[in-house]
Amino acid sequence: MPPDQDPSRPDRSGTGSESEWIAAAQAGDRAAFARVVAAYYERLFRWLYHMTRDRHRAEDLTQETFLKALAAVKSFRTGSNFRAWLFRIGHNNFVNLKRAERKSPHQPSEDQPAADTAAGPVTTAGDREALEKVAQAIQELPTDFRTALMLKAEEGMNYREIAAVLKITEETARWRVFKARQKLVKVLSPDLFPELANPGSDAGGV
Amino acid sequence: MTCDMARNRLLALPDATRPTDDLLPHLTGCAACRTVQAEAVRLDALLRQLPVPVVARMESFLNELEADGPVIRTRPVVPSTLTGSGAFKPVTKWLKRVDWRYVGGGVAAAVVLGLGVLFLAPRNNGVVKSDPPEKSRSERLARMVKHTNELATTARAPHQRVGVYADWTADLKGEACDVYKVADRDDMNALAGQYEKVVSDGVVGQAKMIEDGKLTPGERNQVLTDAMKKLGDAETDATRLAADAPPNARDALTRIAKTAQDGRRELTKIAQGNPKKGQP
Repeated sequence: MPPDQDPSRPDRSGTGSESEWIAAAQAGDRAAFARVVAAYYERLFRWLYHMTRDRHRAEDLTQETFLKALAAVKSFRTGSNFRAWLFRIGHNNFVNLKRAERKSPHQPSEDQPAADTAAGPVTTAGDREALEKVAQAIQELPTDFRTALMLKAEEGMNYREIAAVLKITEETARWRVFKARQKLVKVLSPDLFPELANPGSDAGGV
Repeated sequence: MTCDMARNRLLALPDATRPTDDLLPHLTGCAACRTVQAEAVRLDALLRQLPVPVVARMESFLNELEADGPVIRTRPVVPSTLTGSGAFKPVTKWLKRVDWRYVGGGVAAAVVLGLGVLFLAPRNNGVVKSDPPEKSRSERLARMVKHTNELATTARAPHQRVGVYADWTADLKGEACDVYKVADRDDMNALAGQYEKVVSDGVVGQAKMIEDGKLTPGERNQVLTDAMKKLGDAETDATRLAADAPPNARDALTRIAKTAQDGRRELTKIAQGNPKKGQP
């Protein structure tokens, strides 16, 4: 449970669909917008964390994104892709952050997620070790590749959505995801992916 | 299809568990590439499970969002077509749609929120402030909330709004000074345009609306002097930076300096033009 989470807090899971919450938020219902925030907060944070590698900045960006979304929610066109719209705002925030840092470099805290991390089910020591290696390798990827790959891997976005979020073409989105996987495989082999590391022999090829 | 081609195709698939039809014949006959497919699937699974710190401030943020206050009535800011560009332009568009003649409590809060989102855009404070980025960013968030609340609860009179808008001009100027070396021309022009709007319609506009009898002459002069000082600082900073700014930012900084100068002159006229105004 997050540190500031109160067991007696209001239930924000609510009823109704996301589109209904958004419609209500567009009509000025703050509670409805809070439900949208609650639904996306951790997901957006996870993605931004992979981009910033700094939990504090990732959470700042997450909150900035929702504040911008709140200010702009009336302009959201009903029926279009809210997730892509929201992540697009988040990406703009991230780009602005990087731009500002180029002027005045800031040393990220380089979080080492440990005790207070949230991850999927990991059952074996081998899995944990593999995750540590992947986590390290992902940090070495160029930001553009990492950004696209994590939208694909964590959010399950299709290439069209990734393209919309990152303002690139669908083909570029596909290329970045492919190159990111290829680079990861190269770094992580032969320990994790021995077969991927081997050049194809074409022995059994058709 | 060669194994190399098949493996590259596997890595490019949206979902490695669902090979395309053209891959299936190769996978059927190639055990090594089936292993590669399994490894590609495992890679995606590991990526989904990467550890991430738990969020720490979601609940307090949600509480802030739901806090009592005027309903935020915003105008279009971010194009829903996903074709907009830059973080500054949407705010410019929003500002253009504000009817400043009718700025009142509720709308003022919306104005501040609209501006606040701009101020929340990442920035470092090398020129105007010297706080570390981490600290300043948190403070900026706190300040935005604070100012929004102030407007919602206290800034109901023109003289109060003069102070609030003067603060925002200082922040806009700070934003321009922070990013002028890296921002493109459109962003800088957008900032200069916003600065002009807030100075002319916000600070000066509200200063003209200060009513007789609401403030003592001393209080009234203090309000105007504080605002003039902020504009004077902006004029000085923007003029200094414009001297050696990149071409894409020079015009915008010059506009900001000129706007600040004009605004300060207007406030001076207001202060001198009606000395008995506000006398109890």
